Amino acid sequence: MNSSGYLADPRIRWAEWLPWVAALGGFFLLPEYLALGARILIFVLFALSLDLILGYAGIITLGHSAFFGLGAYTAGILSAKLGVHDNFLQLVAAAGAAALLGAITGAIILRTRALTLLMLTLAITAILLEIANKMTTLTGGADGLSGVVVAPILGLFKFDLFGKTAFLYCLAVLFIGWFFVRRLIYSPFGAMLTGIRENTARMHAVGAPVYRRLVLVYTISATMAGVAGALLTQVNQFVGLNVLGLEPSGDLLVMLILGGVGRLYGAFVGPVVYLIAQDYLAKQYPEYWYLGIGLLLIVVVLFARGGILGLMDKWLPFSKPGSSAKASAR
Amino acid sequence: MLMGVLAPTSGAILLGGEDVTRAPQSRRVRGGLGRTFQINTLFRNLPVLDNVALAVAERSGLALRMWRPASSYQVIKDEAMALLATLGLADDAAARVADLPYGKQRLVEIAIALGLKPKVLLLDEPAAGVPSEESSRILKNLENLPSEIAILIIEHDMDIVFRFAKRITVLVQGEVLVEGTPDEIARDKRVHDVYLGEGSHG
Repeated sequence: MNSSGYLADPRIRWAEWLPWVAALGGFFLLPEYLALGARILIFVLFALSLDLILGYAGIITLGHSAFFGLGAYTAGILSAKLGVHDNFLQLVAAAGAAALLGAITGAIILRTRALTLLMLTLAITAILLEIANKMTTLTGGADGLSGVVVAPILGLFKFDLFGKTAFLYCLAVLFIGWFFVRRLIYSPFGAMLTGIRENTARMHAVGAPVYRRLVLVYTISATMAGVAGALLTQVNQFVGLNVLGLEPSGDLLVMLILGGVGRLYGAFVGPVVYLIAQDYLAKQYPEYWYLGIGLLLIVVVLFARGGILGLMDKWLPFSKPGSSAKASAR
Repeated sequence: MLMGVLAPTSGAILLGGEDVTRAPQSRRVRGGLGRTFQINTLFRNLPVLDNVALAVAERSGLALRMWRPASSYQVIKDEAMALLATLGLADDAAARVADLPYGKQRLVEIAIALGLKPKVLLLDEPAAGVPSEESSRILKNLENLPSEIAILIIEHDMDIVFRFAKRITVLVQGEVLVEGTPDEIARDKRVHDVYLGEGSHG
């Protein structure tokens, strides 16, 4: 479970390159699925941000879409209403807006715990959904916000019809996000977060200002979620209300639980399995596809508490990042 | 209450002359107040070393470092290892706390508290729930603690109390019954009636 801490070996293991190899392989071998691929990459980044607070710090939330949606709308409004077409500026603005919202709402709600916290996170994204729905001049309301324009990346790479640029662009941003989260998790800060999750009373007693630490990590996570939302806007060149509210938050939580919580790569495996299953089932059984997802979740929760990666641990002892630390701890 | 978990209804709490009655727990710990818990409150799923290192990192102000790997912070690891060595836990540094026998877990409690370099150390029944052969090891370690740390032991076991205490406060039903040196307490009639006279209270 612990891929962090003072005894963990921080070097990148060969298995950790597999997602990137697989992504590049998919880029060359499955060109007709690049749009789905970009969507998966965006949700991996989104799931990574959730894993940071849920898996490492132990903050439970049903409102992470608030930051994703705010990021998406920030990028969309900047582009469609204010004429800011630079992709980098859009990302930075989305990150900033999400960070601000994360810091403010985090400071309010992280004084509570458990069910109260869960309901407050849900309330915040529900409020944002209603605002987006009502402020039609800015957001387009239920019709969505179209007319999003993104200038060529670095002035060189135009978003093409086949989604090649979009895919590689998302992959690059995800790589940076992954690298950052990985550093964070292996650092003393990451160890401290694990401490809060494992035993909050003990962290208080060693002098950690737990509440302030939680607000800090919540803000970092919100920032990442905002970037993921902005990516979605840039790739789709459209923002709809479906980026806010309970549904995307719940989907995200399901993805992370499917993949495995608190293990970094659960955030990679979950969205891949979930979104491919969704894509396949929605084509085969358009009316019943949620049933398939539901069954998948039941199987995972009943038989694989650590998610899909938890199952793989049992079969392939070398598969997870923390395996060496755990083996030496035994 | 001393740690700031419960708010006092009246009176003041002074730590090294500074009023910390209203200070949050984190400030008191930084001011030099360390504690152990009566019931083990440890990071059970983490290695023993991490349990102590987390405390050392907080005290040394390195807990917010986000870039370099924790395992590269040799200062933290060395200090934690040295503490574990003095408590005889060096060989268990990589073991998961939950896999240790209870007596050793009690020592980890003490190691964490010492990792904070406290000026005042609160020990809440340090040997509670430990079989007697293991408790002697805990007591030996307590004797070896540096003398500049002021230690407050909360304890029912009179052997431990009279072995260590320089001043004793007897509490009955949350009220101070009597305060004095071990000799005075041992001779006090009321204390005999409440504690020493009736073995069932021990």
